[in-house]
Amino acid sequence: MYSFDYERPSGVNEAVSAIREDDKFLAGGQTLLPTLKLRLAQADKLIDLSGIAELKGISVSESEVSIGAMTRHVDVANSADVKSAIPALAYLASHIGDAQVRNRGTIGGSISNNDPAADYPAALVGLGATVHTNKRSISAEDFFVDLFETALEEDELVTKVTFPVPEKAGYAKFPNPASRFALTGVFVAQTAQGVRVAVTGAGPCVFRQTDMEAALSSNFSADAVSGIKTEASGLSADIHASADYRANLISVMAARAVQAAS
Amino acid sequence: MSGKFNSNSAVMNFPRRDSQDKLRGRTKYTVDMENSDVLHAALLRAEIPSARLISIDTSEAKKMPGVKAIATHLDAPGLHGIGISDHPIFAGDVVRYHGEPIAAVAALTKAQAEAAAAAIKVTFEQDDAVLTMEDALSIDAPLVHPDWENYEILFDGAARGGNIAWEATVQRGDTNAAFCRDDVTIVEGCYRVGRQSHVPFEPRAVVASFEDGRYHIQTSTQVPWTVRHVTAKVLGIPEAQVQVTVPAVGGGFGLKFDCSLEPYAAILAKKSGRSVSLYNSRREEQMTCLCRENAEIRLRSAVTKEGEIVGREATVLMDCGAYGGEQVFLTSMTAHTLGGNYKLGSVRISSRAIYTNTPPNGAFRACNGVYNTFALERHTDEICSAIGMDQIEFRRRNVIGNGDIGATGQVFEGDVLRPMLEQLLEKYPIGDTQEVLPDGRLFGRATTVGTWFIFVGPSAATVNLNADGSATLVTSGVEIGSGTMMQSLPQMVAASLGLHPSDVIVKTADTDASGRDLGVGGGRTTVSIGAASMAACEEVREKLLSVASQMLQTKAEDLVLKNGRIEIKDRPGSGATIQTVAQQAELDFGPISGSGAFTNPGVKAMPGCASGHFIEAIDIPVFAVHDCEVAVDPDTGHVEVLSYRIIQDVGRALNPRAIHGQIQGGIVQGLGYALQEEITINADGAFDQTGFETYRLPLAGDVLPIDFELFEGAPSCGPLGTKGAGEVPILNVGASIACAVANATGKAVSELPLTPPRVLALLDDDGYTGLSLTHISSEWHKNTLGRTSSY
Repeated sequence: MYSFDYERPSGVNEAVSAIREDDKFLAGGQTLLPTLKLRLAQADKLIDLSGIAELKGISVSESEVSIGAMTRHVDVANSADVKSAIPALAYLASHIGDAQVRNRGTIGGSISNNDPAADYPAALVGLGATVHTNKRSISAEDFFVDLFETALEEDELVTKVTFPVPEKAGYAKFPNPASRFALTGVFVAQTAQGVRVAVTGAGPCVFRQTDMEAALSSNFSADAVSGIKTEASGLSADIHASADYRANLISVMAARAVQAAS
Repeated sequence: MSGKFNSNSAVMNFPRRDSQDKLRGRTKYTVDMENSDVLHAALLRAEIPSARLISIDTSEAKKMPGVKAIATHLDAPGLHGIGISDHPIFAGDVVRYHGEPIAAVAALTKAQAEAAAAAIKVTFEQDDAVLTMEDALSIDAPLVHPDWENYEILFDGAARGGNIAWEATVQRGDTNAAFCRDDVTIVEGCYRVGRQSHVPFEPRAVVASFEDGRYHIQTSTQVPWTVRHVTAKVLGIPEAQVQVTVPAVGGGFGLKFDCSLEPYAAILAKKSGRSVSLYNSRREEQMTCLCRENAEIRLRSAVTKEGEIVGREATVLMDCGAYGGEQVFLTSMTAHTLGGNYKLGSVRISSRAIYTNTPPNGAFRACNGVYNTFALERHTDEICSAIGMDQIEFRRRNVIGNGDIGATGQVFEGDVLRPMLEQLLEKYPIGDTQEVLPDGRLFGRATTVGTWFIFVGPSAATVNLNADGSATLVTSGVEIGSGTMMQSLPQMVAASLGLHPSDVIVKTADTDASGRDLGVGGGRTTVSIGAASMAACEEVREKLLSVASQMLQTKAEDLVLKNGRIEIKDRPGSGATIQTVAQQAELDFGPISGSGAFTNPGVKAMPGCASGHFIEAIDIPVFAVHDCEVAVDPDTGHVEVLSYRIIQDVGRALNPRAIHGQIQGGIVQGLGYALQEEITINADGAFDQTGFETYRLPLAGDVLPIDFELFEGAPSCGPLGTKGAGEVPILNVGASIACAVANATGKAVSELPLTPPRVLALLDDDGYTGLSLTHISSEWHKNTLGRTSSY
């Protein structure tokens, strides 16, 4: 680890005005700290967001679940309100990484990093969520741009994410046995605006599987999607699995997500 | 000797004295031995797999802040190795693997040492690398060691040539005639496994100093005497100039069965005049892990319809990486594993260690036994399919029993495997097999057998009986986590001397204080150091009894040592305390001590069967029967292990609770190997899996409690009838999982680990083509260097 400065502001404005080029916001640190330790990343200064009370917490209304950026995965997983409004979202949070990651990692940190195999992007895109920053509101689909790339500007900070409550939703993932990241995860939701199917882990960035959305719109059942293939070209291939294997998993996990939907 | 005291008193669940401190983080490991004066070292490692070095310029690095010493190949002229001296500690003229050390730097801080190492200028010309055994064996392959013929040979009898570092062969009986019989079915199969990394909690670490003309090396090792020998050899100094002591060790599993970082720290300590600390980061530890080697195997068997194996041919390629190392030795073990388990009418085996431009491999719990057992048991089930015989019935008929001969012609003593098999089947009867579970997953069960050995060889022990009535056991044994030094050894000494194990002090290893030893590995500590300790105790007993006999005016044979006292037989409370007798001895002739030694009895093979073998016959065979049930998800290829149960031959269980721990841990390590762990090598010759995000060990949530029973009473030359119990639990885990998955899917499982993508590919009826290793010939004699007669 290279040396760096450290700052722990107590408000969002203070945090964004403190950031300079080559500084980094520190949320739960579950990606940033290991990469710093391995010297894969370097920062002049870390701006620790853990002292900003307004970024934490969950509020649930009849139509919407709102989660503060610095809310930990374990808090989402254990929230009775989230479990009741969007059970699939609580389920997804309860399967991120391992217990240590869930006890430190945050939704804002996860989505700002936009790891291609992270779980949360599937929920955001699958539910048609909105990402709120200190500057604006961004639809989930516009927020996730590409591999480790989001719509965020340098001095822009995620403050919360709002999820419209769906009619029903389900999430199924096949975890990488090493990291517990999603080798492929599929989030399926039946919403007032139609059916949405979001896939994470399989490609460089979360994406919607529109063939499956069309099939589920007319018949919301596992059988409707289990036979729909996804083109393997463009999917990820690495030491853990080939693109073909991931393509197969999309069909299998989509069917299981539909089956699990509630 | 065991007749003179009640050996049952050695059997107990004595708790470990080191557990509290280890659990609470208070144990001092090697890195904790750093004093305030210590320098920190870093290694400059090659980042290419094969090159000719043109120059190494350290002039800029020497001027860097805090730098106190820099070492290169010029400081370590010697070569070391097992069987062949082929291994320098620094690349001098040639780089042979990605990660090979080129220079070592000592500085005031680790960061300064790393910065200076990075500032060393190396110029080189890159050469073509051979990264696979198939490439290494191709006709026009570049040689990893072009001057292989000039190396010092440390052990005679093997065939060598080019990229074939070592070839050990076995020929017993007329296999040619067996395969030509008209009443046999010929079954042939190929198998392949990847590398497995040990991942001990504590990475390799050393603190070295140079004082009063001698080196003092404090290191995390399983083999203090090997470290002493190799350090002296590569530095070109007398061994007597090296002292090795071993602080607490945080796990080894075979990774620390070789000299590794010690010579670098020793050289830097002498050059700088300061203590030098060198340890691997987790990434370095993983990058340079002396893995369980990747291997490729071809098996052919000629079997009658009654299931008699009249002929067997086997060829194994073991990737030793850039240097021969342990694989040279391990070629010997193929005969006893692939050629083990079953009666064979005739057999020929070629076991080859192959050089490649990859990081060297090493020893890992049960070594090649693990994958040879996988290949053998899968091949056995394929034989059963081919001749239409039940898998259990075949094993009942063919497992080695009393008087049967092994591959090299050694005669086995006692019926062990068959009764173990019956014990397992009685406890877990074969029920109605479900082919598909209610949730749609495919169900499979398998029962496998395994043969391994207890590595014996020389050990020494001294026992000092102290004037306070306690005893001190001095050996070169190292507690690497199995509990042997904390449990079985003090239990044995205590039972022999009539003490409680808590009254036995166990000295940590120090080559200046204790006698020579082969090291902790191969399940040998309880047996070899235990036998030496018992011999030392015998001398102490004799001295104690002679003094007590005078004091109590009773013949020595009427005295017993019990509960810290020497009593007259059948008269509890009579006699004197051991403390009193020890104090009387000091007045008579001085303090009481005893010394003992052990070496293996040397079981004989059939003359002329084996060549190039370090071990022609196994002194203490050890057997295991494993059984598991799996569920295979046909949509994803995921394998869940539903149950795992074993019967393990332990000779005699001195501490059943400690053995339980070794069984649970060994099976879990085997499940990782069977299902998910694999080191792969990329185009740069480097390991892909450099951390826990890419190389994951099974966690508690991934595994299950293991059901087990111990099989006691099998013949053993070990003290009190013991055999080592810590190494063998991993032996047939890969085999059992593979056979169960094959039974569940009806597919030819030929490779480990059974990752979900690999299993899903197996299930693809159109896509799966099986494994054919074309670089291993179906004609066995083509897989040898021609020293053996070809028919």
